[in-house]
Amino acid sequence: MDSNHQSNYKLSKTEKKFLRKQVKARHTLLRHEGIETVSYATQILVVANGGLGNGVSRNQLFPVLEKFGQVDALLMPPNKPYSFVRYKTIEESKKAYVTLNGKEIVDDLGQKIILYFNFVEKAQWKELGLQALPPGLMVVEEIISSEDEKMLLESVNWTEDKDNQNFQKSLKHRRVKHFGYEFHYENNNVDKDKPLPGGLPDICDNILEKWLKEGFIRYKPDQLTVNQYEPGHGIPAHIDTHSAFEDEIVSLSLGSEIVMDFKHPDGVTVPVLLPRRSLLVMTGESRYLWTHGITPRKFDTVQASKNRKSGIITSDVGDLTLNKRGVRTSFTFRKVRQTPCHCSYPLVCDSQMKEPPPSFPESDKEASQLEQEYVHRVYEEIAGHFSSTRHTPWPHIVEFLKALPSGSLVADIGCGNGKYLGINKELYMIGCDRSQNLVDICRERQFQAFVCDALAVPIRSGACDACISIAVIHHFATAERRMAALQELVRLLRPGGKALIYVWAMEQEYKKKKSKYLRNRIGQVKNEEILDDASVQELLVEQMPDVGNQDSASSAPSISDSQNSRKVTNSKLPIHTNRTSFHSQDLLVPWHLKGNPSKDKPVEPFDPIGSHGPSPVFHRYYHVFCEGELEAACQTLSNVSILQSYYDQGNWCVILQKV
Amino acid sequence: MKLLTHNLLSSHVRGVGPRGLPLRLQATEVRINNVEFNPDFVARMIPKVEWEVLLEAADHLRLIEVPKGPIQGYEQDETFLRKMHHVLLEVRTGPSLASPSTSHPH
Repeated sequence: MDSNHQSNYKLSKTEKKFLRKQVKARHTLLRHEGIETVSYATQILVVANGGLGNGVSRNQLFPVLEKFGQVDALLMPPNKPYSFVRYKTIEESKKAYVTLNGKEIVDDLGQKIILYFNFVEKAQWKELGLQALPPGLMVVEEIISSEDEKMLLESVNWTEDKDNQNFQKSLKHRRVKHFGYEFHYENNNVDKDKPLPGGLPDICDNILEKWLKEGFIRYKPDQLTVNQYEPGHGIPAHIDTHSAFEDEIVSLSLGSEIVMDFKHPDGVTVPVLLPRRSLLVMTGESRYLWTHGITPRKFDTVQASKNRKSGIITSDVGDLTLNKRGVRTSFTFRKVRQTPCHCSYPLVCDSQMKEPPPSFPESDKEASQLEQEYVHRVYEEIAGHFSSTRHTPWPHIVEFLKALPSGSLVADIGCGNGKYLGINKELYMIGCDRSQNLVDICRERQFQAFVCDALAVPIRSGACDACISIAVIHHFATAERRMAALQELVRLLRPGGKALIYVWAMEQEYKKKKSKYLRNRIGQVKNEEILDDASVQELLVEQMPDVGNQDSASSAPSISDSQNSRKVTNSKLPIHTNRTSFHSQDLLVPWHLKGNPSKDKPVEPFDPIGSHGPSPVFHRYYHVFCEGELEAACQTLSNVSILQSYYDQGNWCVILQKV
Repeated sequence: MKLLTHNLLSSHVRGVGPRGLPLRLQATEVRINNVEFNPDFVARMIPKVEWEVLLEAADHLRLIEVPKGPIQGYEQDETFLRKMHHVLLEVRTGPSLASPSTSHPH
């Protein structure tokens, strides 16, 4: 069926359906892959549905295509549901287009697949070669004409002009000019309340409108930075400040091509060739997580093949050569962000990392402030999610509670969601916690609980037959405060009363050996061991909730060599990488909040990137205890004898008795 | 809050009485929740009770039939134990408390 004659006939139902599908295929290619189809005939066709990604192999497709003429090239990008075919002549490609469009072929699995053909000016796709481009990155070649390129380049007035309202600077390795908003290199942000007069140059308007219409960009940018790089110039690797700009950042390369290096925090580097007159589009992961930069040098390593394409420079040594750099001018368009960033990469997001990590506290006051901000406030925020991860009581704690005489009065200092308050019905248990939200959860569960600080518990001295302090003392930021918390625990006990104390251990590697030892010693029966294993699982969940790979992206301050010494002065607290061993006794442990969104989170009208909701991260301060440290602290308490000191699934534990 | 819990509390606010006792109840509501009677359990609670605090609280809540103190052989006195069971474990007050000489809320 010749599409040129379609309009003369009344289209059948099937024909209409086919046309709809062809148009749909065209839109999909543009929207998802940035493939621009054209309405006139060219040598190159994009074959929608005829790709390796949907099970069509080269051996199946090639013979079908070959029937209509000499196939110059069949490009089948990996994992893509389409391919490109280039015929020797336009006549041949036209013939294939007319005959094959809407035709069925059988794929590798024997399933029927309908092919849809569209003409393109050039073969292009998001991922090239063996190495993949960073997710969300796209290079669109020949996005503007040579005439427009010339016009744009001439529009930039680089002559120094004192009255020039558009801020211009000669940086160390390049010349730069700002429109719309000035970009401040001191804080890598823009002054959102102070737009520059004049906005973006008028000359850009048509171009931007066109890109919007064609779907290369989704938002109209309001900030433009023009950079000029002489050969030998460069720009250090960076991520554009999340809070400053929206998701989509596009950069037009003019005058000369250049190689830009993209780096993932894991260390993967992808050099990407940005051809002259191409548009680099960074969204999603490539915009938020990967750094990009241009190495200052005079030559780039590029592929030797004449038909040089945008994208990854392959490591095919047989096809590499040096390319002398020319003067490249880039027009980088961004949209200034008006609300905080809620991306899925909180560890590299300045919006979600509210302030730089705190320092090691040097006074009681600083310690108290640190606890306020990095313990109390955090538990208040994460209470719901935290509570949902606290269900299984730990066997040895249960055992302690069950062994107490009936009618004992027991206080759980730092009771969390109250998971131990109802363990033994023969006890009268009261709980307290610093977090109102957690106490509320206890009360909903009909437990006796109230809010207080473990340094000042409003219970009469000597009133308790027993106390438990589970995962509490490690949240106090100085040795003095940890001692004070232990002392307060002892104050509550009557003479003869017992306290069970659990703190998180520095030695996590140590665990297996010791807990086996512990099991042997206590002589648990088989099914108790199964319970123990379950609690190991929960330990991982409890202490290290919801960890993703992005933790490794943490720009954690390096830990000083003197990490073992207690006196670390003026040092920032390191951020712990979950599921790794500890490198410092004092640290911040990330908590990725899931579900239960905080009240102030705006409801987004649509989700432009995908289904990934933001996962805010909170940091809790911990002092993890070394072997013997808790016991030694307890030994300095007066009127106390230590009944037991042990290791339980990554925690140091002491049972003491008031004498 | 049960009155037994209340009975165990003291104020940690400095300068509030010698022992920070008793915390004045600011009960916004008083509820009675039935709790299964366990005479042994109640008997074990009796020596721990701070009677002055309990009586003041009971008075404040206008509770009647509250024993004035432990009686001889209370371990075997079901009537006494039932009364104590009721006042210590079944009476529940609303959420807030105040220190004796300040209105510092807990």
